[in-house]
Amino acid sequence: MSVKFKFIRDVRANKPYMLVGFPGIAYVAKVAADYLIEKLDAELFAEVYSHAFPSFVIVRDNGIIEPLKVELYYSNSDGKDIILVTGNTQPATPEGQHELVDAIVNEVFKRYSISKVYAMAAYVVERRVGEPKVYGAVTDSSILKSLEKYGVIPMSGGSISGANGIILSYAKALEIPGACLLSETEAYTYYGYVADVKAAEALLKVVTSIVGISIDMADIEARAKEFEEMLRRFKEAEEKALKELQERTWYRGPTYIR
Amino acid sequence: MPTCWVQELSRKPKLEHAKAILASPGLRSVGWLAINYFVEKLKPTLIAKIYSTSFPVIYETIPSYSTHPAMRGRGGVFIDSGTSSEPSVEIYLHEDSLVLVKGYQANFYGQREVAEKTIEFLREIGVKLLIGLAAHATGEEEFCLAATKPELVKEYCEVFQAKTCYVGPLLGFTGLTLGEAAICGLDGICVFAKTMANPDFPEQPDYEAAKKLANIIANFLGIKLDLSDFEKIASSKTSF
Repeated sequence: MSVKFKFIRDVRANKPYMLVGFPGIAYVAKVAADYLIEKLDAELFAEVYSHAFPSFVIVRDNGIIEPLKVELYYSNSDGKDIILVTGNTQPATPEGQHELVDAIVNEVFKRYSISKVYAMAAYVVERRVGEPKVYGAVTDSSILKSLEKYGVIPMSGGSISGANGIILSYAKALEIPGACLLSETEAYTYYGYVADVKAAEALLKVVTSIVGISIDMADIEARAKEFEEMLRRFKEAEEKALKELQERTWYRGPTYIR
Repeated sequence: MPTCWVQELSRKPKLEHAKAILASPGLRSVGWLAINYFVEKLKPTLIAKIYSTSFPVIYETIPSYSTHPAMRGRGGVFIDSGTSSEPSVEIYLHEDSLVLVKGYQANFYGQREVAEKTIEFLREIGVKLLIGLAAHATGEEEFCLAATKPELVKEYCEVFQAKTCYVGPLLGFTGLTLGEAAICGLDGICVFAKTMANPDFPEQPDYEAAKKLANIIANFLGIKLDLSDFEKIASSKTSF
């Protein structure tokens, strides 16, 4: 077995919702999960390690050597038991991702049962217009209807790569209703390796509504505004650089005419 | 068939308050040269070897300690004067108080299992503190320090007169073993000596940095060593 659990404390959860946010495209799911953990004051109760994690540990700026890990948190908010799943990495292979997700879903299901699984993820678009839209993919089409009233747009096609998508398969196998909610992020952030806080904010609004919990959104709204301003400046600088490049190289007439 | 196993070469010692120093091929081979020097100079007893089916003899990744799932390397054995030997992690004991670990970098598929087996063995024989030897190429500090617990950071920054100046990934056997120590609750620190990165030849030996690292570690351990022959001794069992 190349997945191991380290249980830190015992929690008493009763048919909790499982909210999943592994780090992925533009860190949208990770930012959203971390924000939920902070605002729900969720308590860490287990860590999970996989042999398929990448080949390093992280040295933090305080000098602490931190292993790569997935963390499981518990919160009871507005009378709802919630288990949050996030981490500082994902396994580096598809096999490792499957094994890890299978182990987590089965272990948590065995201990607490799970009433629903909501995974979070990013949906890459070329250009985002207005507020980020949130798309949904579900384990059973009957769930789609219930999500539409929260503004979730059914994902018409494509794929969801990584653990945030794979988890739907394992939820389905245990007959746990599951959905993956994907917030629009621009290809720009995907290639730029920046955390899209705006997309995470949009995702959080939808997820909290669906689950029926309320959290203070002020901090992430402020961070989302800062992010948008930073993105606007980046784009401006990029467009300016592109224009200058075009002016330097653009049409000087055919080179064969002297 | 097991994929990783320990061969005990003597009765398993039961140590009290033992420290272990550990290194493997890494940035500019600084830690590796230092551990080689200690082993060659102190002539400790080889007490165990750890083998893995994921130990390549030829690596496909550059550097060797940056593993990739698609680059497993080539399995095989080493030959010396017509005799074969298997790649392994070597664990030595010096005077019932110091354990020395010469690491070996597994490929992606075996690296964490090897780290787990190493820590399991070190804990079984009674090691209480693991000291990783490594290098950093980020700034001017002669030595940087990292540790598995905040109280260890504070304590050993004072001991080594070092700062927590390195931030980022710690790759390979040394990093993963320290990570496993953190998971298991075994105290671990890592001392990084300053070097200059060479992107074309990441493991190019930096004898000067390795000598400084060996010196600071020897002083900490209370071992008196004449380091004038460092380069000759440290490189005697290693080909670069």
